[in-house]
Amino acid sequence: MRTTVTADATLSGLEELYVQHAPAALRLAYFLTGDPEAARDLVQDAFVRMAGRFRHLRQPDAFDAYLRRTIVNLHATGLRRLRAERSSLAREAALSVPAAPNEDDHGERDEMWHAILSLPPRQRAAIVLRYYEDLSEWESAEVLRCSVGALNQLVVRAMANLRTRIGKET
Amino acid sequence: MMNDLEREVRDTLLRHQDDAPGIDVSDARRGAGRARRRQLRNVVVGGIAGAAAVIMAIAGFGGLVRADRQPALLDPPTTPPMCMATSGPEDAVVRGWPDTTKNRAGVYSWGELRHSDGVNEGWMHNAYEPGSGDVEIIFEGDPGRLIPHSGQTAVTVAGCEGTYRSFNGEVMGRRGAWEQWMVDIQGTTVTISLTAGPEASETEVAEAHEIIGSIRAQPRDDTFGFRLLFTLTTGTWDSG
Repeated sequence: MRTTVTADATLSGLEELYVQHAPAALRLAYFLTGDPEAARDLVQDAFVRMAGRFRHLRQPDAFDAYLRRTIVNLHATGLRRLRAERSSLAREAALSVPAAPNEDDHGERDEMWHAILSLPPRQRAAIVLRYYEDLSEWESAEVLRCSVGALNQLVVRAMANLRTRIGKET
Repeated sequence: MMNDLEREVRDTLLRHQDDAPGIDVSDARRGAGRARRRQLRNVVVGGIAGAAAVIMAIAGFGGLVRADRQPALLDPPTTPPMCMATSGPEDAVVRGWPDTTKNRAGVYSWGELRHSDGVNEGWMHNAYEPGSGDVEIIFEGDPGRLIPHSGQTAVTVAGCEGTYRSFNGEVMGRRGAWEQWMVDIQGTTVTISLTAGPEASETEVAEAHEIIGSIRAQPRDDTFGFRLLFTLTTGTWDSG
């Protein structure tokens, strides 16, 4: 029977899980959104969604995997896209101010960061999962709820987009 | 072995990982508080045995139920006989779950446990014009029988008796509508969730209901023993 979790013990357990898993979750959310506040909102929303299924996880030890999947898919929904676009406009407005010169030339490397942020959500998620989270093709496909073939297509398109944006060959 | 571009992507992400927000205890408490409020809201909508009538009166549950469903309250929880998938062969080509590109109108399928955690999920939304992207449908399958709650509405999904609930309220921080159908098909609890944000039109929601109404269960020799077929009538849906 699907029961509704209301026990105080479970809420404190959720708080504990939040403290334990939020740092990694916030990094993932930040890479997906490019915005610290949007990342916080995304992670909180993911935990709220997870709370209702906490007792029904087939593999409680895989909580981080469930959380990662929830974050990625919440980010990809159209319901969130409008809010992210507003944040992005504000962020782009801030980024249009030239950065102060730095001894280390980060300009070219920051170009890659901006290029990553400009990718469509699922392409960005695919390369974050593969190259930052270091997940396998199969694990990444599990998170994105797609086939390995579809995942590879997302990665290929993402890399092609990045290559075009930063004007590099291979 | 990574190529130069892949290495640059990884190095860029590593360089920016410390820009991510930090965690503080108030985030944890705030999240737990929101979870508790959401759970209380679910209790009000779903009803509980012995208090269902009172809770429905308070929550206006009757007003949320679609008039054309002719709702009938369930008796106290009992496990009905197992419902089997009976849909026959399709005339049209059956595709798998909609992919991340623009999917044409046609017949699609969901089923066959593909995920290691025992929960199979399919997600799609109407992202392509004229869709607003504000309507999403999720199919979920959990191995195990569904025991219906009293206080939910009896409906038929894929030819099997199931339950339905809905509420209008806050959906992921925005006003919207949320509906859920749960049905037991050959010992698997199938949950179909529909969320519609404020950008969604009545036409889009009606289309989503048509999709859900078109679901039929076809026997298969795989993990679930069946797959669900459904028909997309427009080319606005994708899964990414």
